[in-house]
Amino acid sequence: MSDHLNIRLFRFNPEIDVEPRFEELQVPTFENMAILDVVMHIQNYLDRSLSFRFSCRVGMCGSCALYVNGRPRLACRTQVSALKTQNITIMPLPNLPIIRDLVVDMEPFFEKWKKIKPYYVSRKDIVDPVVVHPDSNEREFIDEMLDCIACGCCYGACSMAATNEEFLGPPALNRAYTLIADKRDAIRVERLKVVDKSYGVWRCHTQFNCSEVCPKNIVPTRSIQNLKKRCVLKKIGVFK
Amino acid sequence: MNAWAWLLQRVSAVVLLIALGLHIWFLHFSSGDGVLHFGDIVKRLDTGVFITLDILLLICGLYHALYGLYSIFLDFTSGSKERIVVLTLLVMVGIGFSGFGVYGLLWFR
Amino acid sequence: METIKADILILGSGGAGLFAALHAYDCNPHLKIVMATKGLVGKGGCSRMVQGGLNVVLNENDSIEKHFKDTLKGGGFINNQELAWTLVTDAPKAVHELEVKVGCFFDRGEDGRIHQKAFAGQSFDRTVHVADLTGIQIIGRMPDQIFARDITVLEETRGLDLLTAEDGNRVVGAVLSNIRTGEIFLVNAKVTIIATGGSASMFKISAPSFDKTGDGMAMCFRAGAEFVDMEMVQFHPTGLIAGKSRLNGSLLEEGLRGAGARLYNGLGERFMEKYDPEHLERSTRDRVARSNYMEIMAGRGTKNNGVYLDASHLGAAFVEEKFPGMVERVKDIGKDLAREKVEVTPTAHYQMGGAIIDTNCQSSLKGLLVAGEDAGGAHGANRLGGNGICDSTVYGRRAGDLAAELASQEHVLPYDEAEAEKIRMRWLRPMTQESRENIYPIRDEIENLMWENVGLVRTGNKIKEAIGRLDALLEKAGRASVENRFIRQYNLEWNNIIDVINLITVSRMVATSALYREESRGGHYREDFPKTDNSNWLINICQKRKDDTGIELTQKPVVLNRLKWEEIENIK
Repeated sequence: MSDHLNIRLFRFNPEIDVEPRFEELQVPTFENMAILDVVMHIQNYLDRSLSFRFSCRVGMCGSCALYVNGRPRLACRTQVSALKTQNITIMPLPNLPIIRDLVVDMEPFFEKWKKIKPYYVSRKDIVDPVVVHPDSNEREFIDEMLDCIACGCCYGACSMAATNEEFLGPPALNRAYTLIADKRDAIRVERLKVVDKSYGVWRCHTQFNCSEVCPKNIVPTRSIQNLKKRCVLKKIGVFK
Repeated sequence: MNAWAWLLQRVSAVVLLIALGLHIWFLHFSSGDGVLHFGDIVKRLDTGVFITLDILLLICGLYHALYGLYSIFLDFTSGSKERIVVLTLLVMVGIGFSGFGVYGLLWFR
Repeated sequence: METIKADILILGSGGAGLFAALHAYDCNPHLKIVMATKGLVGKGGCSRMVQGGLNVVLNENDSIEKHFKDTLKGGGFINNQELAWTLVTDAPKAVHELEVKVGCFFDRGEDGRIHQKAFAGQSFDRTVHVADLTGIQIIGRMPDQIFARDITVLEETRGLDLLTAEDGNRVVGAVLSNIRTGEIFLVNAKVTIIATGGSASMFKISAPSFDKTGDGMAMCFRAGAEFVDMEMVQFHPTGLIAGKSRLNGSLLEEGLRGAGARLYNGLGERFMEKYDPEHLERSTRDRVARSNYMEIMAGRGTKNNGVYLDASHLGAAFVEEKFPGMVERVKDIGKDLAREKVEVTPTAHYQMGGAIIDTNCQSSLKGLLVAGEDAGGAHGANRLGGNGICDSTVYGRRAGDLAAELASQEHVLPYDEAEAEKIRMRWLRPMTQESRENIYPIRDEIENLMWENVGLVRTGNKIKEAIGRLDALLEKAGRASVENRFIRQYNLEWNNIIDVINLITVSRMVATSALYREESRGGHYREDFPKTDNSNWLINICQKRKDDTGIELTQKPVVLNRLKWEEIENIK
């Protein structure tokens, strides 16, 4: 590993700047350095006015997604050494409005998230935690999909979300799947009606961009395809 | 409607795969000397099986292509007015070409 | 200043804050509830980072009494017994609510029922979990419940200070700052709930998220609330060693030791045989962490000043299946947890001490409720692994219930405009003064100072030295100014200055209390008083603000109303 990195850093203050600019900086490297370490080093010691968002630093909160060398990634889980280059371009997550520098407004993301009724509604007849044997297929692949930390990487990678601002996008649809497949939930059909719209599941063209960038190795495309299947099953009266 | 349209897209894809295969085979490889004669085609198109196959190919091909176009259109728009206009247009194109094609096929009978 | 009137103001959106909002709303949906959170909703703080899970009594062979005794024994018997009892009796309700109302799905055992795994310091395997990253499931689903209700959520909005009335005996809201715009505004509320978490990030090596800087505690302190046992800081024994990376100090969960992972020093000795031959690695966190530290200090550590955590003998397939999150985390530093030993260090993790509350989260000030890590007492001198998220959920629920009740009865009391303006001016100072005092070296100094002088092993002299230095640093941090004073939007530096002032405020409480307790117990170890002294020190140390920044200490004997003195003697 070389002893320093050449960083091209996206800077933009929508309140003042006419257009974004790139700042070129040299940052010394150290062992186990992640992109989060890079931006923190810059902010602490080189340019204190830089802003970015972070919280847990261990890949659990999903606050620090950035667009690094042409790809959405979690800053805290992206090791500099894994990029295999000394030249690193750091930009904010695409497909979302910019608040300042590397900080994006997650509002559109969560507006769509809220559209699919992301909250669990318990069936009236369930009064205790249900008994589910681990080898039964009851949970399908819900639990792995529930590992989503809503970081927005998939949303930033999705070309459908980029071209159409009404498309619900992979994270909301993935969340919808986890609830629609959950037999304990009372409003599965209602929720399925929400995703069964032109700008719901049907805009997904199975490009797998979302799955490719997911830091939690979730495959939202799989959830979306499963939802499509359920939409058809509902039409022929099998899914109730 | 979306669900049916999507299901039909899948079904038409499967039909296309088979029908197109058969179509190419019979058109280019089935006659012994490798040369296609107009008479053979006329004779073939007089049978119910081939007419059904070709009509299926025609309709599925048109549907698949037009639905694909409509999808791409949807990807970039959101207004419901334009959607209805484009959809009507595409449906008319579909019906028009289907009718024209079927008429042409049946002409051989 | 822009003013929002509300019935209930909640600061924080971790387990406690979210549950408080949920319960308050469900008790009375007509209330105007405002929840402000420093990060994005549900993303800040540590509930989200919970790995292990929740300790809860579900099995017929287990009992509330056993869980209670474990909690007290782990806590060195200075717990507030009522708080501990409420914790263990309410925990099953919290888990039930999480599954049935919130929709969480905890891992199931072979019999199809909720699985409970082994954690350290417990007489029964009672930790409910979702693999090794339980917090994602819990906090991933709680905000969705908030979205389903008419609750105002102010994201990236931090509390600056509380507003008081009635000669400072009642809290009537808070002055807040919108981090995105830099606007300072106030919320005038009937009830204010503080649930912003602790501030273990005051130490050089620490496990919590970096946005946890004791804001709530510092605000409560400045408002005059009473605190208890602030010297009690938990160090987790197995923080990952990752050099200068921000990953340094992040946790490798306790379930690993629960499942049988071992600790070795640099010489390859399984040193826990020496410190706790009975429980070995499954001893409580305070003991294991201190043993690690002693080994390292005695020069028997690894080359990076740590010890080895070894889970490889459990079988690679087992480790990969049960601890996928941990395997992945270790992979980031190029190691394989399933197949080789990994260097770990004690890491500052949790504050047992905090604001004094009753079992319904009522603090010493009217109109102020405190829930979660900001509150003290339930865990005594050391918290059991798995009792943390339990605490947040149990007391979050209770705070919400009480807040709804109080808000239905009371009126919004007017705040003092001069006080509000004073608070605003105080926190605007880093943006207006031009001292060129840089906050980052100050932050680095506190982290080192606290680690070395008020860390795992303390002595009177070193603590005294730290207190003197902290006073000077508080003054210095007050002079700090922002480099680019024209940018108020999302100004990290400005926010870090506020963070550091809060950190020092809490650090001073920790150090002052640590100097006072002349014995060793739980997370507090005094080299000059290494023995636990039950005859003189079965007491709680209380403190509150005196004058401007002074601290007034009082001591109270522990109330032994449930587990009596004789029983404690027998357990020993």
